[in-house]
Amino acid sequence: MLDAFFKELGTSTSQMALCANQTLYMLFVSLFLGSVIGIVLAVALVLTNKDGILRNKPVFFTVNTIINVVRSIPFVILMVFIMPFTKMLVGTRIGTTAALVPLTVFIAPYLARLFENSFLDVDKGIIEAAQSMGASTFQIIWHFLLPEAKGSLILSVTTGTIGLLGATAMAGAIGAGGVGDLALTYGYERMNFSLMLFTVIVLIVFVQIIQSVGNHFAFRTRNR
Amino acid sequence: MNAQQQSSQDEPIIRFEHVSKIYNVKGQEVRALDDVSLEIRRGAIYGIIGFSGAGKSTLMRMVNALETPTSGKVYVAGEDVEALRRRGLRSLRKNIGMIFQQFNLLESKTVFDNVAIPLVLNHEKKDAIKKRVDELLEFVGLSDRARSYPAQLSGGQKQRVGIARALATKPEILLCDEATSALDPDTTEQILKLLGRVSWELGVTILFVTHMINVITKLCDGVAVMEHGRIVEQGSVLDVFSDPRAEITRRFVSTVIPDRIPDSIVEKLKKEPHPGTLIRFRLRAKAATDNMIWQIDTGFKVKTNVMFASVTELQHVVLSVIILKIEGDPEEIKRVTAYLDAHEVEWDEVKI
Ligand SMILES: Nc1ncnc2c1ncn2[C@@H]1O[C@H](COP(=O)(O)OP(=O)(O)OP(=O)(O)O)[C@@H](O)[C@H]1O
Ligand SMILES: [Mg+2]
Repeated sequence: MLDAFFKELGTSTSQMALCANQTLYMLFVSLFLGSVIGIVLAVALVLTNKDGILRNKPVFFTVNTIINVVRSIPFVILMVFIMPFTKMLVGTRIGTTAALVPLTVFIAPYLARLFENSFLDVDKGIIEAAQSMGASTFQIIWHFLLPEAKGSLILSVTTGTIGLLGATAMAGAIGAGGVGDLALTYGYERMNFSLMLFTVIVLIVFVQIIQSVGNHFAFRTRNR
Repeated sequence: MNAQQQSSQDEPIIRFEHVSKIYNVKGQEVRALDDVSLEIRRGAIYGIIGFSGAGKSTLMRMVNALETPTSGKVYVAGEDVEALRRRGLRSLRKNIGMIFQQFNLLESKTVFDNVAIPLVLNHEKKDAIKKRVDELLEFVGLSDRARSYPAQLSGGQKQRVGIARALATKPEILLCDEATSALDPDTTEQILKLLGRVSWELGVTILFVTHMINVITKLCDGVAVMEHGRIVEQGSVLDVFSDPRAEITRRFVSTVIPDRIPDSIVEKLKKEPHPGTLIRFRLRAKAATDNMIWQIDTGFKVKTNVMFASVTELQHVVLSVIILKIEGDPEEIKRVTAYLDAHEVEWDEVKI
């Protein structure tokens, strides 16, 4: 039945599965890498800012500037711009795996900004209490900053995931495939409106699910 | 006990020596502390009172090295804080608990986990932590709320958790920065009672910073009054508040011990052709001063009239403030005041 449905749309079950697979792969791998890098950058920002416990102007300025610069480059341009770097890292410029590099570079500073805000929302008093207990910097991050920001961090990841989904669609430009690429090539180039409508609906549903799951976990950690 | 032990017992547990702190705010120098010297003896409940910006918090935060003096020295248990700081903050801060106006509990952790944090930071064993936390929750009366989250607690309960957490590592000193200022009067009373137990049962030295004088009169035995980064008056609560010298101390004291003629009477006095001299007496319940008014009336050629009187109990001592209007020859009034001085009565003249 599924086969017949996709055939009607001008594609096939296996192609749909492949596209979905590619999208999820790009999404989750770059989300994971981007989150790790984002957390590190965000922690660096909040520790070294002017009210931070490791106040350090040069470090703050450098990290802050890098984030701003990368964030100001549109994804399509970023993708092409860092191709040599991509080649160096994964050995190829095109394909799904190659797309992971620009996607991660794109999402990490974005997440870093969101995470930074999550951390800044943590009450200064909590950090002061931590210091009064003699907590080390690592302990302050691990036992105070991260747990207190958790709910807000989850929402930040959720927002980041949705932004990242948009970028994966554009990754089709370097042959990464995915659901977004499917919609573009079939829907735009071949004027297959029903397929495009279908992918749009799939994407909408997917975004709703991500947002609901994110909200669920965020509120579970927050309002008890 | 040998002489050396004796001296370490008598030695103040906290000592500030000519401490100054200057902040640079946008090129402007802000003198938050100005040559402050203060000693707090072991086991004391010491209050620091002053209006906002007086430098109270800054001074207190130097005890656990959250703040460093621009000049001067701070000693805790006989050791230079700056030297301790270089050897590692952990050992210093383990010995000093701190509680806050906004409680500063972790919203993401249960009451139990909040209290356990200082012990977790010390890498203590799980069952030792459990035992200690249960003990602490019992002490502050929150054993039944161990699994609750801070958001489910009242302000008073949150501060109890704060106190339990601050005591987790068995510190010798407890710093309280406006610890009751966010609480209603009843809850404040309960928290002060608990802090009293912390002092008497556990022998912890308490340093309490506040802008509320009734907290000091209820809890503390010693007090320092701060203004513009300086200590303007210090001593036992009874001495300082029964005979306030500095203007700011008077302002604080007048809110708990009324010592001013009501405005309506002041208006009437102003209209009188011969207002006389207004003398304010501050009396502690002592037999020697009991019949003072009678002495003045019978011993001098003056007419007295009571304009104001209040009686307050401060730390189990009855304090009365009486304002007398004395009419008579200026020379005769001088003789009255000389008589008061000779009998060491605390008095001052009130101008209206
Ligand atoms: N980190 C800082 N940077 C610049 N100025 C500061 C800093 N901390 C305190 N000050 C200044 O030092 C002075 C004393 O501040 P402090 O917080 O010790 O006052 P306080 O008596 O505790 O007042 P409050 O009752 O409002 O808490 C104030 O003028 C304040 O603006
Ligand atoms: Mg303060």
